[in-house]
Amino acid sequence: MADTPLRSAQPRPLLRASGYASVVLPAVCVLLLAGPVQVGADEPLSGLEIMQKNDRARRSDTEHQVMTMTLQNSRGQQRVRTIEGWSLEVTEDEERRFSKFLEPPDVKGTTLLYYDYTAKDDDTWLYLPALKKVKRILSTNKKDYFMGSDFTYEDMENTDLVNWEYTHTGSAEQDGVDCYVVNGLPNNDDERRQTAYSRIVNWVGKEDFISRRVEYYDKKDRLSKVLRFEEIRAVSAADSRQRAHKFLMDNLITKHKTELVFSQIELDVKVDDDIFSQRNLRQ
Amino acid sequence: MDHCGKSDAAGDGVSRHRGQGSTTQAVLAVCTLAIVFAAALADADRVNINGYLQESIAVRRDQLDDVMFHRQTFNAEVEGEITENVGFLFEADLWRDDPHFLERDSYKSRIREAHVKFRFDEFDLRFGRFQIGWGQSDALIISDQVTPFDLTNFIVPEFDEIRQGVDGALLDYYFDSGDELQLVWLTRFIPPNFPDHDSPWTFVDNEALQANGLTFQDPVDPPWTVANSEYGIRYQSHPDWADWSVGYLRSWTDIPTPRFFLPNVVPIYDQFHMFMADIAYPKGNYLFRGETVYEVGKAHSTFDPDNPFTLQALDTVNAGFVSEHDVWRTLVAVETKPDFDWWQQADLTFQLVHEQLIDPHPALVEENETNYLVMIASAAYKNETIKPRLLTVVNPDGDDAWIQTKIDFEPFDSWRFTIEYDQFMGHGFDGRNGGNFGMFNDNDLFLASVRYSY
Repeated sequence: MADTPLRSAQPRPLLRASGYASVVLPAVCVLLLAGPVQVGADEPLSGLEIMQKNDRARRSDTEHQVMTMTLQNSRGQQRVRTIEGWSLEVTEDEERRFSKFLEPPDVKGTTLLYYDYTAKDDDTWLYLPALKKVKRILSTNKKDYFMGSDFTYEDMENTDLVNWEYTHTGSAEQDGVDCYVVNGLPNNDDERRQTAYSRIVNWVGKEDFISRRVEYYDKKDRLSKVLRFEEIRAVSAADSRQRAHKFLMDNLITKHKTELVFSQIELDVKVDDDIFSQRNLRQ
Repeated sequence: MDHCGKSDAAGDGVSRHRGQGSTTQAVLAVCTLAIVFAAALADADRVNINGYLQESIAVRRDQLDDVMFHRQTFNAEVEGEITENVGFLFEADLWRDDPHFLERDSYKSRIREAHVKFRFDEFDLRFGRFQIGWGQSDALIISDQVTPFDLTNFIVPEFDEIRQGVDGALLDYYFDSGDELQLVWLTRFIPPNFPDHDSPWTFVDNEALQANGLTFQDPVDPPWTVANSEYGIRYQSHPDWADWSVGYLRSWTDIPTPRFFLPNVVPIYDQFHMFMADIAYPKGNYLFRGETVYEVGKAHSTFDPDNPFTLQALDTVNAGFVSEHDVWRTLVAVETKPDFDWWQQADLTFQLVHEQLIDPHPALVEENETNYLVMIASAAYKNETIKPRLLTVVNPDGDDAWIQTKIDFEPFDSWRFTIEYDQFMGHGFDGRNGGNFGMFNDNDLFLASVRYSY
C-alpha cells in the first residue's frame, strides 16, 4: 500500500501496540487541504511534518506479531501476558485487528476482534471461553488501561491529527540518537475531555523518524508516564524495515512498569480475511 | 424466571440429583476414549492442556459455623488438532462437596465437553458433548436454554462452573457476508442437577407436602427416542449497526412441573417450543441489548398445597392440576462506561426483565406477570489486581431481591482470590409478591474462594 500520512502504526495489531498517543494521525480533511508534504532540504520541519514522517516510517498493510507484556509493580512483583495479534488495513478509514491471549492460563483463549473506523464508533467483540458466548462490547473508554498494563487504550490507538496541535520545540538525544522533540496539545474541547493528558511530548529520530521516547503529562501537567523504545532493528533477515522490539512504559505516579517485548513481527504478510471474523473468535 | 436454568412456570421442581442414563455414559466414555486416542495421535505441539484447581467455602451470615457450600474442584481441558481440519476438545470436572447438610463427603465428576470438530471452508461440524450459549443477557436467563445448568447450589458456584454439556451434533455455517446459521440436534434431553433434599437451596417444600399427606416422586426422564430429541436453529448477523439473531428451539423444560395425582406428586418434564430474537446495538458510549423469547406450551401448576381444593382449579384436576400456557419473556438492557477518575475500568449495566403468562388460568400458583430490575457495576484498580463487582436483582413488586458484592484479587499470574457476600431479601411467592430470590431469605452468605489456573 502506498504510504500516506493518514494513519499511524508501529507494531499495532493487538491494540495498535504502537499507535501510542505520540503518534497522532492526520485526518483526511487535513490531507485534502494540505496536499502532499513538501519540505525543502534546508527548511526546518514542522511538528506536523515530523509526525507524518514518523507515521510513514512504520506503516504496513498487514501485521502479525507475538508480544509478551510484563507488568511490574512497585515491589518488583511481575505478571506476564502473551498475546498474538493480527491487523489488516482494509481502507484508509477502516482497520481490523484480532487479538488472542496465549498466557496466563486464566485468560488463555480469550479473543478480541476490533473494527476501527476513522469516521464512526469502533466495533468490538469479545469471546469468553468460559461463557461460550461472543459478545459485542462497548468500545473502550480511552482512559482505561489495557489488561492491567500502564498503556491506556488511548496510548495504543491512533488519533485524528485534527484533534492535536504539534509544535517542533527543539532537539534532544535519546539513547545516543539525535531526535526531534515535538510537543502535542489537544486542540478542541472534545479531545481535551476524552484524553487523559494535557500534553504529550515525542522524541523522533532525525535520521529514521522512528519514535524513541514519549512523555505523557496528566491533566495537572505532571509528567505521569514515560515510554521508551528499545531494540530498534530490522524486522527480519528478509525485511529491513526498522521496528522497536521493546517498549518500556514507566508510570511515575503509581511506580508501576510495563514492558512489551515483541518476539515476532511480520509486516505485509498474507493475512486471511477470515482471521477478522466472528468464526475465528470462537476457534 | 430462573437465575440459571430454563424457566418453569410452576417454580417447583425436584430436589434430587439426576443420574444420567447408562447408555449416555457409555457413549460419552467412547467419545472420551476416542478423544484421548486422538490426543495421543496428535502432534504434541497441537495439544493444549489447561484447567484449574479451586477451593470454595460459603458460610451462612447468621450462623458462621454453618458451612453451606464447601467444594474442591479439579478442572481439566485438553484441546488439540489432529489435522488442520480436525480438532477435539475434552473438558471435565472432578469435585468434592463437603457442606454441613450432607452427611458424608460427596465426590462427583462431570464431562463438560467431549467432542470432535471438523472444520470446512464454509462450516464447522461438531459431534459429541458440547456447550452452547445463546442470547445477550447477563445474570438472568432469557433464551440461553440449549444447554442446562447445574442448579445444585443455586448461585454459589460461578456461572462458568454450572453450565452443563449436551450430546449431539452442531453445525455452524458461515456465509460470505459474515452471517451465521447454527443447527443443533441433541440426541436426548439431559435434565439439570437439582439441590439435595437437605440443601438450603432446595425449592421443594417437602415439609409442606408431607404435612398434606403428599408423596413426592422422582421425575422420569423422557424416553430416548428420536421424537424426544431436542433441536434448534439460529441465524446470526453482524452488520455495522448492530448484532442480531433469531432462533427456534424444540426443547424440554429443565424443571419438571409437578402433577398432583393425590396423594402422589409426579414431576413431569414437558416439551415446548421456544422462539427467540436478540440484538446488541451500540450508540456512542452506550450499548443497548434486547432479547426476547416466546415459549409455547409450557405447563403451569394450579395446585396450592395450602389451599388444595379450590373451585377454580377443578377443571385442571384430570391434568394433575396443571394448565398449559405460553410465556413471553423479554429483556432490555443498556451498558455504559462512566467516566470518573475514581471509577477505574468502569462498566455499568441496567437490565429490565419482563415475563408474562399469556391468558393465564385463574388458579395458577405463580405470578402472571413478573419483572426484575438488574444492575451490574464493576471496576478494576491497581492495574487490574483488584476487581470489585456489584450485582443487584430486584423484583419491583417487592419482597424478592438479591444483592451480590464481590471482589476478585489477582495479585499473581494464575491465582485468583475471591470474597463475596450474597444477600437475599423477601420470601417465596405468596400470591401477592415475593419470588425466586426472596425464597432464599435465610441463605445470606459469605463466600471465599481461591483458584489456581494452569
